Formats: sequence, structure tokens, C-alpha cells
Amino acid sequence: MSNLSVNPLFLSVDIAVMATVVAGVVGVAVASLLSNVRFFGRDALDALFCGPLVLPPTVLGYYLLVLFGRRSFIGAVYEHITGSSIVFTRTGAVLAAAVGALPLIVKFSRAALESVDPLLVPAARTLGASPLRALVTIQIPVAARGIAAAVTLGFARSLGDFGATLMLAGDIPGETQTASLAIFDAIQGQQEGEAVVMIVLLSGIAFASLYLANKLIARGHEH
Amino acid sequence: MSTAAPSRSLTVSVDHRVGDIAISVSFTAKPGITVLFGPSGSGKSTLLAAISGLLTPDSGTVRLADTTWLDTKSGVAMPVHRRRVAFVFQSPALFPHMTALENVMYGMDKNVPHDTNVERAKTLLATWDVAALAHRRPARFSGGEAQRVALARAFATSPEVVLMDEPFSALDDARRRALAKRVKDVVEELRVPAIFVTHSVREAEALGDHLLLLENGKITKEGAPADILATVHAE
Repeated sequence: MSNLSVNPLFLSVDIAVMATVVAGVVGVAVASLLSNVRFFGRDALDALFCGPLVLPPTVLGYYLLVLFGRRSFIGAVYEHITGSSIVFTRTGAVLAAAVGALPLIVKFSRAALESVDPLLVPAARTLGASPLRALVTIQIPVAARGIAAAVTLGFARSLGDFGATLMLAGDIPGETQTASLAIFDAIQGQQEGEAVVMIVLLSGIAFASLYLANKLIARGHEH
Repeated sequence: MSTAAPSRSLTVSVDHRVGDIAISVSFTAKPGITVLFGPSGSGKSTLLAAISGLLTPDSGTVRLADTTWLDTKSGVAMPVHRRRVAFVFQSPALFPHMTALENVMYGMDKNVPHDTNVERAKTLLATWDVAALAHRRPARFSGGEAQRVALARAFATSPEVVLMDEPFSALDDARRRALAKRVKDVVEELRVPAIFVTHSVREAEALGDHLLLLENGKITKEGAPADILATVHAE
């Protein structure tokens, strides 16, 4: 498999798994907040986390550069602590993929949490559970299948991220060149035949993820 | 079944608007069952939610003996989970991912050894005639079985106040009577104030030591169940 090896695919999976972990933790926390607490600016927060769903990838990438670039506060602090920048590194690729996955995880997790029998959390509260304990021991476990579906969709989304990853992490072979970027490079370089392996594998993983998510959602409705 | 501190009255004074109904009530519930009787939409469930802390009313106070649970003027609002209320809802609201035993143990004191809690939960399930369901999940319980497990779970917390929001409305008359008698016995044993919401005349007569008639958010009559219900029928 010449210069277009399967390495970008492994890198994609590696980055997507890490991005899914990050987006899963943040996304479920945000979904829990949005579904349980009424506060000023709730709709604005929802729009902020779901923005990547509708923003052009290049615009999203630009915002990420502004937020995490070497001249940004976060970027500077990160570089001071780790000695490495976020931009043009695997960390940047994980971050870009995580931000892309967040809207799906937030939206679907919120729907799953809000579909839990509305008496269960009050019942837990009257049994002595704090809001956090009721969330962790009742609401999240009961919504687990829906949340798992959300995370699966988030994984599929982060696996195929292109624009934001290119803007924030670049296209560095062996470092940040994910399968999506490698396919783009191959097509640009008129090596279409060599991109086919990755196109087929990425499509397979994406459809398998969607199939699994649908199964989880359907089984969640049965319970 | 453990016995709570004796003779502590619950004093409630609540004003709250929900939709078109302005709830404005003041009453004292002594240990024993106080029946809250009235038509649908008169504010009974909202009142229970305010007492339990699940809802913060527009204004008012809720006190259990000398302990203030709520005083909107001075900004006191004890959170739900610290009020030690046993709340039995109209639907059993059992946790579907837990067995009956785990449901009953959920509200038990975590400082007590686990084995002691397990034994107590089993005893409670036996008290409510559902010991055989201990290791099963609620999905396939009948309505009566589920409500019995919910009762065992509510009383497992050694509550200081018992609130019941039409808990037997989905059951047939025979089951209703049997459970109502059991609830009455348990509340008498605990010697705590219990508020039982119903719009069933039979249930109200069988259960209550005292009855509050709630109409359009106001307590219009108060007294012995038989006397009040007789006047309601006469009208």
C-alpha cells in the first residue's frame, strides 16, 4: 500500500477515541446541566455547544485557532505547562475532532436524559439523594443507552473531521494527517485508487457506528 | 420498622400560584394521617410538592416541630434530600435499573453496615408482602407489587413526615383497602404526620384521623372525615 498506508486510519481511530472521551465527558456534563437546571443564558449555552453543527468547518477552525493558538491565553498557558503548542500537534487534532463531536453528544444525551420518567429524580431526592447523586445513580444510568448512542455518533463524527482539524492541527503525515486528510491529499495528487481502501474502511466504520447508535436508541425506547 | 421521634406536628402555610389556581393554605398536621381531599386540579399535588421541597412556593413557611424547613421571608429553604420525607407518588416511580431490594436500600443510611441494611430491606419487603421480588427488577411487576415496593422504599428512610399522592389510584378496591389499612398501621407505629391525598370518599373515610377539604387552592372545611364528607355529599 505505497505511501498511502493505513497509518492515517490508525491515527484517525486513535484521535477519534481520545476526542470521544473528551467530548463524551464534557458533552454529558453540559447535557446534564441543560436538562436539569433552569438558568439565565441556558438557550445561549445550548447554541454555543451546538454551533459546530452548523458553522462552516473553516469558520470553526478559525475560532479554534483564536481560542487555542500560540498567542491565545489558553494556548500560551498550555505551552508554558507542557512545552508544546496545541496548534499543529496531535492535541490540536483531538481538540478539533472533540469540538466537532460535541453538538451530537450534547443534543442526543440531553434528549436521552429528558426522556427519563420525570418522577424518578424527585423520588431519588425525597429518598435523600443530592442533585448530583440523583443524576449519577438514577438519571444517567436510566438514560445510558441513549447516551451511549450519542457517544457512538460523536465517535463517528470525530473520525471523519476534516476542516477544523486541517485549520488547527494541519496535515502533518504521521502526526496530524488523519484518514480524511490523507484521502484529500491522495485525490489531489490523482492517486484515487490508493484512497479507495481508506474510503471503504472509513465508510464501514461510519455505517457500523450509525447502525449501533440506532440499535441503542431503539433498545433505549423499549426500556 | 424503626420508630421515629414521637409527636412532632407539621405546620404549613403556603401561598403559590400555578396556572389559574392560587393556592393559599394554612394548617397543622399532627402525627397520624391527615387526608387532603378535593377534586382534581384543586392544588393537592402542588401542596405536597411544596411541603417536600420539590417545589419552592411563592411564599410561606413549612415547619416540623421546631425545625424550619421553609421560610421564604428569611430565605430558609432546606433542600429536599435533607427533609426526611417519605413521598409515595401516584405512580410507583421505581428505579428500573435496580432490583426491588436495591430500590428499598437506596434511601437507607450509608453509615449503617451494608449487611444490616440488606437485612432491614428484606424485612421491609416482607412487611409489604413482596419479599419474593427482592432480586427482580421492576419491569414486570404488577401495579400492586410495584406500589408495595415503593411503599417499602419510602418507609425505609425512617421518615419524619409521610406524603402520599393518590398512591393507590391505579389499584382495584380490594388491594386499595388492604394497602390503606397497612399504611394506617405503619403511620400509627411511626407516630409521624402523614398527609394522604385522595379524591376517593371510601379511602378518605377509611384512612383519615383528620380531613382537609381543598377546593380551588383553599381549605374550605376541616375536621373529622365522616363529618366533612357527609356535608360534601349533602351539597
